[in-house]
Amino acid sequence: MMILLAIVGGLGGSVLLGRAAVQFVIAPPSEEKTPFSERWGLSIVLGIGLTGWLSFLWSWSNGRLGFAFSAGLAGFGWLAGLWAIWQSSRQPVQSSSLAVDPHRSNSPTAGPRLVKACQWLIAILVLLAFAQSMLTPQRFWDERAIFAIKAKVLFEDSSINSSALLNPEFVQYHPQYPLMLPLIEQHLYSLMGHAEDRWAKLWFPLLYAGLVLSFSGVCSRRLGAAWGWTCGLLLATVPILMPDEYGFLCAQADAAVACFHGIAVLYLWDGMSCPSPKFRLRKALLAGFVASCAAFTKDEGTAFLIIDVLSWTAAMALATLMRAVSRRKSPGESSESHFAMLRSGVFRVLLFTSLAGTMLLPWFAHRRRLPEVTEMHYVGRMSLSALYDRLSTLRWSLPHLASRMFGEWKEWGLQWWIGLAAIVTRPKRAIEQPQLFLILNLFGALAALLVAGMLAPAELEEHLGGSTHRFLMQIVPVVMLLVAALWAEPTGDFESVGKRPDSTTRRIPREHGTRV
Amino acid sequence: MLFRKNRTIEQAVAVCLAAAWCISVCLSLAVWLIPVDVIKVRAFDQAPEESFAQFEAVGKAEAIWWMLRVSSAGATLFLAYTWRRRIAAAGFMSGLIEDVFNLLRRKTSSGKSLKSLAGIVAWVRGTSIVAMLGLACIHQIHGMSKRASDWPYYRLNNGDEILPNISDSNRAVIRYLRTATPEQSRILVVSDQKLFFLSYYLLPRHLLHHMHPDAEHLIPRKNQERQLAAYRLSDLPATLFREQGPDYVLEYFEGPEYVESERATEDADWLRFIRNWQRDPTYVPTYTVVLRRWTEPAQ
Repeated sequence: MMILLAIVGGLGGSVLLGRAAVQFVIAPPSEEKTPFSERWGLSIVLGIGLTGWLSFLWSWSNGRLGFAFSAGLAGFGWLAGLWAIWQSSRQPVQSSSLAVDPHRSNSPTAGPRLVKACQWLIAILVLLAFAQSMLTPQRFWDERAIFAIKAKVLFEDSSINSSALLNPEFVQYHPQYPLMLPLIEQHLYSLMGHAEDRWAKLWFPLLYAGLVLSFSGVCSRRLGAAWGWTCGLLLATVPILMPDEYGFLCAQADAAVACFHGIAVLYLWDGMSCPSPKFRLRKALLAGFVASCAAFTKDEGTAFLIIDVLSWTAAMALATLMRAVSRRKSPGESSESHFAMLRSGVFRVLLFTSLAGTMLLPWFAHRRRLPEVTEMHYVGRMSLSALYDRLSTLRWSLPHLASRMFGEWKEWGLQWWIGLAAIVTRPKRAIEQPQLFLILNLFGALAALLVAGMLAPAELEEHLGGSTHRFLMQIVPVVMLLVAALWAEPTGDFESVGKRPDSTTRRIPREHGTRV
Repeated sequence: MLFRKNRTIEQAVAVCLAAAWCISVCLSLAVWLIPVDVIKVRAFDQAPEESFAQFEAVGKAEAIWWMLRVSSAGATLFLAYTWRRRIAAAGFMSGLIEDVFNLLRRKTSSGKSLKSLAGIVAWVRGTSIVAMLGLACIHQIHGMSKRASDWPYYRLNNGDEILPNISDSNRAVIRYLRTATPEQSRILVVSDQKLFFLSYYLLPRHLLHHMHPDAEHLIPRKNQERQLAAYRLSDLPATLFREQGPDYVLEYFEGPEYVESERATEDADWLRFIRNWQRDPTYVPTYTVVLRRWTEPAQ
């Protein structure tokens, strides 16, 4: 009974903490319509991210982790979240949140029954994820050797400055790996009063729910309810995410990174076609926070952060160049000058990078104190000569990657084939800035994997062969977002997906319109 | 005309729901009335004549039976509720079918020349959705089957008790150290093994290991197929012992390059433990385990 109370208190406290953040910081109801699903999906993801970050910052500033802190955090989360829900219920626009979910009546794909069916199926999948996750204790290499071991030490020593974690001889794998997962796991252990790794796995199906709900919410807001929820269902059914045992059913970091990175890219993409400059900034900040969560979960997250910035900048530059070359405005484009758009874009890139960087500074400062045993040191190994010397590795890694993406579809899913089909069938839409950003982001991630294979001190076939499928899992939400954006049907108000609505769209009163 | 069409759909849905409900009631009755033990005995009889296979078959049958019990009860309740609201359900179903066709079929396009292209895109999109959902169904069934196969090993036991997914030798060493050392002790290990799982399951004991740099990025293979480089006790500098202040020192080697057969019986406590564990009073382990209390040598 006490365990149940601790679990409900801990998980509920985190989700409600996220709910408060969504209500008061990210999307105040008076300013922007946010679908119910997006609101709660984001609450889950932000809540978990905040739990990890706040625990870290508290301990970093020499606070003691443990029952008092975890109970305080959970209690604060409950109070703030319930207050946010009460505030939300007083807002007439948001009170019927499902009704507000934009069923774009002018869209030929709008179908409330289809939406309902997708919602039911997603609910069943989430329940199955929780049930299946709970059927096994933690049992894989990474989840125990890297994350669970640190979580237990944090629980026992109540500090990130634990002598064990700072000791190079203490047996743990990758001592410098980020602490998001160990910290959220110890949060539950502290509330339960003992460490039992099966319960710590509950965070992962919760992240699965958060990812799918946020994805469905944003897609339904942007692309129409029926198509948005269909895409949410497709994402939820990608086998590598669920029910593959290395996905959201286990406590490894790959699925968690897929969630955080996917949502960061989702909001960057969303912000690129958002009409209001204020919302665009807010989405960049939100994406920055979630991207920092990805970097605080696994080192790949830092690579993804860099790739986000590079692909965003490149997409912006290419789009500006294409506009300048064509010298004509697209039908849906606003009257802003190219220069002003570029300036605003650069400002958002800087804002995104600054927020994520600022969030990560304390972590990187702490990380310098941690032992370096078994670390791969990719950055330290990177040099032009090293890359040149190891070019021959591509002879093995490129076919291997292609085989994992396209050849082994029966095992990991059809998402790569479908992504390719979407690009081939909608090439014009694929080169619009938001979709170009997604494509460049995917290419950047794949290139990063190949470079990692070139630089890693481990045996190439063993290193990449045992991890490619898990790395590819981390970018599945981005592929599915690309599919969603490319295959969405053009509707009256959005001539093309991702382009900004014209001024007439913006004049439609929000209370009656269904568009953002 | 429209009224007649709606009436037909309503009747069809009502018939389908009634049939599904009858099937689920029968299934529920069957799975709840037949005791799990009957199914376990049947699975045992049908399994190959091998204790491991029988253990797996019995556990899997038990898991599948419980899955059937829960899902059939849920389905019966859901179908009963839906049948009570069959008129609304019929409306919902016909609307859903229409929505799905709207989603899958070709969409209108302004230009004639675009019509065929739009048709191809819609066809590819529809086929992709159907293929993805079909593959997902197969994976969900496979996933549930996999969980049922896992059930005999894990059940609802804590990982600390069953020590899952590690070698038998690792498991024996963990259990031995748990009995032979107090909880807060610091154990310095010299070993040719990766000790992460030992470290995890032995917490709050702290396991200390000076890893050989050549073994740092190597992944071990089953049955000691890959020999990892390791330091022996005599290789370690005295400063390491002073810095780490261990309470115990453990020598644990499994690879042929490091195992010394004459040391297999050196630690009497270990020998007693492993013989008791194996239920064989003459058993001699094939790997070296020697645990000693560490006292700093006099200056």
